[in-house]
Amino acid sequence: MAEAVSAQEVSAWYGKKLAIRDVTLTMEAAKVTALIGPSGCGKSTFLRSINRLHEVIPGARIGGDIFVGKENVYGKGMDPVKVRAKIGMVFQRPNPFPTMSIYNNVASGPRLHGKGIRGKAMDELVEKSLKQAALWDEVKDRLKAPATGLSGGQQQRLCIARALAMKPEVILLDEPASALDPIATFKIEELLLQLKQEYTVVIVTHNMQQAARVADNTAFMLAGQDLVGEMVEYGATQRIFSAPEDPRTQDYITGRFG
Amino acid sequence: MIADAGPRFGVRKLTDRVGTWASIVAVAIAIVPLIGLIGFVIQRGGAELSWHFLTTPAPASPDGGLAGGISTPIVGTLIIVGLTCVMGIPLGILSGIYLATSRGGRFTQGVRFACDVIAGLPSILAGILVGAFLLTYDRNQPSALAASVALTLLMFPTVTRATDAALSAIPPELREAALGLGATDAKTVFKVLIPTAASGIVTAIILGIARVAGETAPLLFTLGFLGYPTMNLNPFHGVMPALPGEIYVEISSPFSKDKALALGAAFVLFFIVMFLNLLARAMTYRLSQRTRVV
Amino acid sequence: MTREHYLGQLAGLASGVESMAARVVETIRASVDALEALDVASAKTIIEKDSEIDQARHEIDEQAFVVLATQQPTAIDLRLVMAAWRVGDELERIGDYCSGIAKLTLTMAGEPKGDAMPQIRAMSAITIELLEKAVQAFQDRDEAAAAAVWARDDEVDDLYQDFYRNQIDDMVNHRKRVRRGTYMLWVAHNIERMADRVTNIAEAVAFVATADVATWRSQIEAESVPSSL
Repeated sequence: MAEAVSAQEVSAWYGKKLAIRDVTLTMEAAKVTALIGPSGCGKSTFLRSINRLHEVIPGARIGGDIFVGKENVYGKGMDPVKVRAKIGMVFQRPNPFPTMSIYNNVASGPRLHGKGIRGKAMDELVEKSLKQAALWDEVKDRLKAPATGLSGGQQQRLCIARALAMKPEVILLDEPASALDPIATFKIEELLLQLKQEYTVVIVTHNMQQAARVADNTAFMLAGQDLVGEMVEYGATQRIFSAPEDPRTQDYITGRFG
Repeated sequence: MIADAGPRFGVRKLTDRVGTWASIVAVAIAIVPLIGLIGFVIQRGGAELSWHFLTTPAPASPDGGLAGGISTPIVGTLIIVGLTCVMGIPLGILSGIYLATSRGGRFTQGVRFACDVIAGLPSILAGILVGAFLLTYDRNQPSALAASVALTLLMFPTVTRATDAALSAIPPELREAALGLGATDAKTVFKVLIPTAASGIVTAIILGIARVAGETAPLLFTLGFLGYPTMNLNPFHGVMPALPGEIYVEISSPFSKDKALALGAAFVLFFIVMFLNLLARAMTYRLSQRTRVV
Repeated sequence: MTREHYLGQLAGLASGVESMAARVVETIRASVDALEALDVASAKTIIEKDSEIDQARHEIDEQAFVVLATQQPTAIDLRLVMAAWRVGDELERIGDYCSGIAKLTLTMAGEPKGDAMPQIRAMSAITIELLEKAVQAFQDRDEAAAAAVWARDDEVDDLYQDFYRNQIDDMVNHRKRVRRGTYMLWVAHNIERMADRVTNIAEAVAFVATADVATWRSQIEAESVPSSL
């Protein structure tokens, strides 16, 4: 069940250093939102603040609020562990658990939470998740094989299946295709277009053409002279890539940067 | 142009050959003592091997010689090493987890330093320390437990360092993957990180066991070896026979039959240690094949 | 499975062009029928509906623009998008010419009928045939079919030249027919211009199929019999 994600004046620190400032942005439910911008603009930092993964780094903290649906992820008494259970994340380099089989990787989320799903119910959950990740046909005959035997693109789809098995409301992807070849990249992009029917998808990408192909809405972030990242412009992808309002956006998209 | 090698190329080739041969000679020199040792032990000790040898209790007096065997020392060694593992492995692993997952700071640095110091502790000091601390020094209250404690001191730093290194070598993405799924830190460590680091940890444990199985000095101050102990299964009290001690006693005896017994025992001990080392290698290879991270 | 969304966009663009072309073919027929019958009501409808043709062209423009901005098409896809843009333009101009004929129909209402219609019919029949063949060639990305269309451009030109001479002669000899004759000259001119646009559409098809329009053209010229003009 997809929910909208609304960030209100979110700032993030690494120890004393401010990384992003007052980012306000609503990522619509059941749509794909892309975050683009040059290196160091804070887009990954912002993404990790959504599922409270930022604060895992020693000395890191967040200011502001982020609402998933009606719930404030940073509200008093919100358990970060529970937040992360409802928000799935896929990382830049595919990271399936190397000691586990394909089946066990997909099942690892619910098992880590002790949800008590077993036997046939778990079989069905694994199958459904792998189908949603467009990987089922390729692995259905070797579910017990080690996950590390898959190709890079397959491993990444496995990581997506693993996240989907938790039945999240939101899926975050941090440059999911940057370690993959073009065909695997296209497969992932096509997959995201299908996933958005059921989930809210937020993707960080340094490949702006990918954002143009995949996202409904695009946000452009930029770090100023003070090296603090801010959101410069946010809107429908078609508009951003054909007639952006802010000249900095246009400079970045047309490659006139630096 | 490429075919024109020039004079410099010839010098380089020569230097390369000289270096290669120097390395081979150095390795040969290093291996010779090992080969000599293996040869000596196999030749002299292997002759003693027999089923009788392995199942008869150790002789109770000098020149009991070949009437006896080494069954009691073997059992004793097993008990002592077993106790050591029970104490050392959890201590080592938990310390290693702490070091790998802590956020740095003075205390962590202190723990690391202490671990390194203990790792370099001469085994005789370990024996004296534990012996004095547990009041067995006066040799009135020897116990296998005390011996195990001393051996634990020698074993656990290896396990700690290996656990720390193995956990630290895991790419951070794996930890992130587990956290991203909403696992708590504890579950992440025990259900994801430890299994991934398992090969390194198990190898270190095996090597640790191999080491303590053969340690003699700590046994001297905790078990005492001026007599000929009979079998004693009580670890808390009383002397217990053990292989290293048995070797020491029998080889010190002037009777040749006793010396022969000692060499047989040395062969068995050597064999155990070699076996454990090879086991560790095999495990490292096999597990590394299975758990290769992308 | 790969890039289905994008391929769907391209297919939508192509089918937008095809449906706009079908509408324009209908409009040509309607305008000639209205002219022959001097049907004022029908002519007025044609003029009103021209805005729908314009709207169709704007939709094609927008779709093509979106695909260019967001999908980075390359190779044949890029040529298709550019061709769609151009063909939309040409079809919209043809629609304007139909409006022109309809306006002339309104002007000629009340004038006595002459005998120019058969030739007008002949010209428009060929033009419609060529347009339909060009659109089919676009659907099939078939440059040979497009070449066949391109080669027949002379037919309409020749008919137009004949008609022109005949009308002038007629007007010189019959003063009373000058007004009507002038209007019919304009009608014929519009049809000849339509055929010219169809030729451009054929070129766009060749661009999509081969990317080398110059070679395609020179091959046609080498094969065809020199024009009798």
